[in-house]
Amino acid sequence: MAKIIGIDLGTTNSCVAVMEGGSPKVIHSTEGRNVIPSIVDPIKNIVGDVAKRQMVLNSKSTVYSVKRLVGRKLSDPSVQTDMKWLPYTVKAGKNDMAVVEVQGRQFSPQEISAKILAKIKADAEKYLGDTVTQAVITVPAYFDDAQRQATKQAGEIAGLEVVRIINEPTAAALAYGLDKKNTHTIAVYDLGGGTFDISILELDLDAQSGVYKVKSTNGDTHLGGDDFDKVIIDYLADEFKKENNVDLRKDPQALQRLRDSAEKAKIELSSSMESEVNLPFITQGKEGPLHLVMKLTRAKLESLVGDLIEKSLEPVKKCLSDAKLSVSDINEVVMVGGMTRMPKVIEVVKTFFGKDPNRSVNPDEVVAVGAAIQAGVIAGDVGGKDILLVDVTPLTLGVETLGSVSTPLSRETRQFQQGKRRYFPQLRTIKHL
Amino acid sequence: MQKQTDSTEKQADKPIKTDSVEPVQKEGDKCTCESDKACKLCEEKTAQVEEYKMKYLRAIADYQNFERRIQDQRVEWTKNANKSLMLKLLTFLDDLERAEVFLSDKNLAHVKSTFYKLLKNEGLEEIEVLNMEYDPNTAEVINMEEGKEDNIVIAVLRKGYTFNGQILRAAQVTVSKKS
Repeated sequence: MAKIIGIDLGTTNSCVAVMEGGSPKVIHSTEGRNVIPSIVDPIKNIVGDVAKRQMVLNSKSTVYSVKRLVGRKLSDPSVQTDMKWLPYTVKAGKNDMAVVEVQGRQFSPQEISAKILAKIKADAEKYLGDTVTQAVITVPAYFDDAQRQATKQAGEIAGLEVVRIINEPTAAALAYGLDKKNTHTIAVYDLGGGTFDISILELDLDAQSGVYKVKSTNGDTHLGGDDFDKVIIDYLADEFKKENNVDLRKDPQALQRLRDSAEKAKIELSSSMESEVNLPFITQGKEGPLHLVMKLTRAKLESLVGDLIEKSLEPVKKCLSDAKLSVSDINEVVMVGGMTRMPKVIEVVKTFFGKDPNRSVNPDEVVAVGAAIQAGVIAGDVGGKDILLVDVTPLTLGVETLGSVSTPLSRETRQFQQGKRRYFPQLRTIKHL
Repeated sequence: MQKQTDSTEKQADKPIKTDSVEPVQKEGDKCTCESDKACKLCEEKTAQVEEYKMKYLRAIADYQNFERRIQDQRVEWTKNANKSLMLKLLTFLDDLERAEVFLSDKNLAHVKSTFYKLLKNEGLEEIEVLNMEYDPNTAEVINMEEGKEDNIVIAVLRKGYTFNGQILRAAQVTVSKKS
């Protein structure tokens, strides 16, 4: 029986996972990465990292962030806002639905998303060594019916039967097994590459147990890791300019090195208190080559990005207010998105909600993992409410007593039975019989 | 004994198809239950057994796929054990390249060349992209400049490399655009 894959079809990056041996496993792309950039050149038919590499060259024909257009009309205010900064052409298609126009050809957002899903499907088939025909795909909690239908359509164009569309925050809750704990109210804080979303979920007591309904949702569609990188780049460039009177941002090669170093430093400072930015021969000065060598501390980084993190709390407060809940009503907080690795972000969220957020699952993968768990439930690989058999031993455990008599305490393939007692005059425990 | 092992191995190689499983209770089997209640219980248990049998076979199939994948991955791991170390060493090679541009020193050039040969012996290979048609599989465009032709790599800002035949790092390039 073919596997059902779980797909996080993200605005910036997408991720895919599948249940294997009772556990969710993230499938790496053919490029060896756990995520695939949601970027497509529909004319050259290239997707992911390869499409990303040529974005600067073909800005008008490389489509990214198409999720912002899926299932929306051209007249939609958010489409009108996004059109101002998207480098490719967005026009009105049938029924005023937003479509992308590239080199005179029109593509619906579903067709663009389908190319990403087709790549995901191909990578999954290569990994599994088997055809993949079904998927569970996640969508933002705020997606309306038209947007959900469009996402389902994208799957169908890619050759996937979309057996379920689930909300991204719900998938995150599933990844942490919160449905099994019957956790009543969950806040999902999702700070990714380009967008921020906050959702409040409530256990749906009327439906089957383990089902969550979205109570309220809010966010900032232009707040993410890219903004944090920009702040660091500006800081490094400004400091260098003070010393050397050269603006590195005007040199494309220097700017690219700065960009790579800023991201690297940001990541390092999540686990270290200090990071050195060392860029020899960054540019040519009047008296010879110039080098950028700077130490960036975690404290300095936190002071630079503090405003951005505080900015994320406004939508959180509004979301709570829309749900008519207070902070004390939240039972669990779940962190999603790479930026939630930053210690300052974790600290701010912990202080706001008054509890430790759940962050043990890779935040880049947590939504895909949840989708895979849902896929597993549908496929019968995982019992919905049943505990996975992780505590089963295939061996019979026993005790050897005097005279080499073995007395089994636990028969094979049974769950460990804690607290079982049996009295022996003298005993020596053995591993197995 | 050898024969037994061989046939066991052959059986293990065959993937188990969970679609073609024989049912526990076949059509036409006579029911030997004493009462309707017993019959109902018997049906429930039979259904349960079928379910567990499917799950068991699915788990076996998963395990076989896992074993096969681990075998393939083991070969990859051995080949690419030094991949992350190689990536770190590339930053030093990049700095030597830049120093060469700024300083034009013969001794430095010799050191750089020796270092590259050492890495080449371990499987590193430079990706040639300069003056060739731009290929997004091997290079990332950082900048564009006016040129006589479209899409030709006119400058390499950072070299790209393969490691044991696979792309380790794409080059970063300037590409021409016809004015």
